[in-house]
Amino acid sequence: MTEWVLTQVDYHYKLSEIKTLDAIQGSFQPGKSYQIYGAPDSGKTTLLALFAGLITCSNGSLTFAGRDLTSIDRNSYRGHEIACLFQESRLLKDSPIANLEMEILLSGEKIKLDKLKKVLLSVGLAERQLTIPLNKLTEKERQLVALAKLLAKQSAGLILVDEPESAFKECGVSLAMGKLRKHCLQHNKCLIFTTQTTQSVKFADELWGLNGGKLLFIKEQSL
Amino acid sequence: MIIIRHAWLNLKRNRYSHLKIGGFVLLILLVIFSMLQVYRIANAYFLDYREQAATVVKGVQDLNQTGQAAKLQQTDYEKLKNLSYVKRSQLTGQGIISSTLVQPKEGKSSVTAYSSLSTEHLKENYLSLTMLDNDSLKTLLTAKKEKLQGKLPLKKNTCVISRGLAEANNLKVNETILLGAKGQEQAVEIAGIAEFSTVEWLSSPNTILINWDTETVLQRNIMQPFLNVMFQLTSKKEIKKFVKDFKKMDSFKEYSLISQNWSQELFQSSQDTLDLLLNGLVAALILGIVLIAIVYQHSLKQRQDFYTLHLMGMDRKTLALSSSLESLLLILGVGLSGILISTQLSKWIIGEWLIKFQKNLMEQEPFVDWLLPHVEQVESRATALLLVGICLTILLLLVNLRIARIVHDPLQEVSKR
Repeated sequence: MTEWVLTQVDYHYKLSEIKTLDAIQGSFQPGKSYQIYGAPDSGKTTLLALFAGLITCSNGSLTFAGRDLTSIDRNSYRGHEIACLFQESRLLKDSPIANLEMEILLSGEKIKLDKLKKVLLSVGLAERQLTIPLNKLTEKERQLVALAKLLAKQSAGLILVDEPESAFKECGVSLAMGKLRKHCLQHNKCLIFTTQTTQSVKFADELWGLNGGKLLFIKEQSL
Repeated sequence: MIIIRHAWLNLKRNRYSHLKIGGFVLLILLVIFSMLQVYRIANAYFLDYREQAATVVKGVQDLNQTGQAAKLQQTDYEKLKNLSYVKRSQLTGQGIISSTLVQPKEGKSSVTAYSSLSTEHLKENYLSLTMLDNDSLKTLLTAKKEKLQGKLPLKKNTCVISRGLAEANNLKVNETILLGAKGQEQAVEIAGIAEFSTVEWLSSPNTILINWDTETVLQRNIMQPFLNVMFQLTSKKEIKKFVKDFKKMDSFKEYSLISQNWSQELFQSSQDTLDLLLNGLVAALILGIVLIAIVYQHSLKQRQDFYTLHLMGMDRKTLALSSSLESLLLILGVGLSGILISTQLSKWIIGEWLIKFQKNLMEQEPFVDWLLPHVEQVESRATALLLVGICLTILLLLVNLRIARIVHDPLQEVSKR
């Protein structure tokens, strides 16, 4: 089954003896959304980086579809399986359409410009904004492009969003998270997002907490 | 293909920052390349001229105890002149001669070079007289043809006088003047009137120029004659042979030979300028490379696309290769433009300097056959390409270190934002 499973995962920085993540466990299913709640520096971003294959566990394992992430090509995994947004919008200094094209190119999918345009228009961008450089767009419009990037990657089974309150501050957290959740349900994808507030709680099927390096299941909610 | 595509996209995406960086690097390379080419060309020119100067030997007459010079046999000079390894030669004599002509009021006195003259002599009219062989007369007067009115004084009993002297005595071409002490005067026809520009070489700007045939007629009237000879050899290696041949001649037994020293002052000032330029070049080179490294490092830190592309799934190899190709294209474009522009720029900078130097040489030594040095640009271009290579290596090192750091420690990048 395509799921992400954390088994006794430890993570500590190279020159630190303090464990950022301490023997955490959990299972994350497609078609569901998960909110990981935690204070600043509690290890939320580190956990998302583990899911994205940017870093590997110090101990324990993180498996995807039964395969340990340490044993697979993590760049290819990230390119194909993951759509991620870490804190501030990370976009290339290019046009919105070029950003989406690059995302698709690196995922190995076939680029269909019409589809990409549709996605960009669906998040609220105007036709004329699709090909102009990002520096000519407002912060709100750039955040919409970042949202479209998450939605455009068909192959991605896991969508990771770090602090949506900050990433979609200008374009509206509710609008962005609503679209993301709907997209995940429709396409049977897993959505994991981390927050410091309860603002996005209504978009999560399961609530988890991260504190002192421990990941705790809080509750499941029906939406 | 994917590498080339990503490199092209990187270039396109970062065109404004590349434009800024490229402009800065181009400016630095232009300064360094121009200085390098100016130094190379000037150095090659001066070395060539120094080599040419080294083939020139001068013979200066030693005065005997009575202060009189020994008589020169023209045949001895001719024998040396006709030696196979003698390229050019010049026989010059200087002296003073009594005359009824009036000295021009303005300008230097014609007898300033003869400080040994008694006050009694100075009260009379004495004129400076310069004797030259026919070839040297041609060189001296035809090189400045526009300043010579009339003909060359190649016939016996002819002379060329200065414009100042002609105006002071109201003389014209083809008129006759009398030279020599009272009762022994010789009539000499004015073949031409000239304005001498090579006053550094002539003893006086108002000298009378005659050839050696005329000198034989005026010989008895010429006072304090002083002779010197100049030989330009085909090669520096022939000097030893020439010295032997020179010493064999009876006429030149009382002559001292000087070689190279005569040009030292002129070359030394140019060498000092070159040394200064070399020091500047070394300083500019070090400073330039450090500045390029600092500015490029700063621009790399500003770039977010390495991390963004890595997040999108681009592996380290593709990222490193495409970014390296991007840096290669940037530095090649800037480097080649730098070489081309600096070649033109350095030609313009060096032109004035070399023309002035050449003019000085020609004026100081008008009878030496100065050949315009041919300087190959290949060597300086190779050095410039080497510099481009060094810049490229630094840029590649910096970009790959940056990528390695991002890939190795992506959380550092996340926490930075």
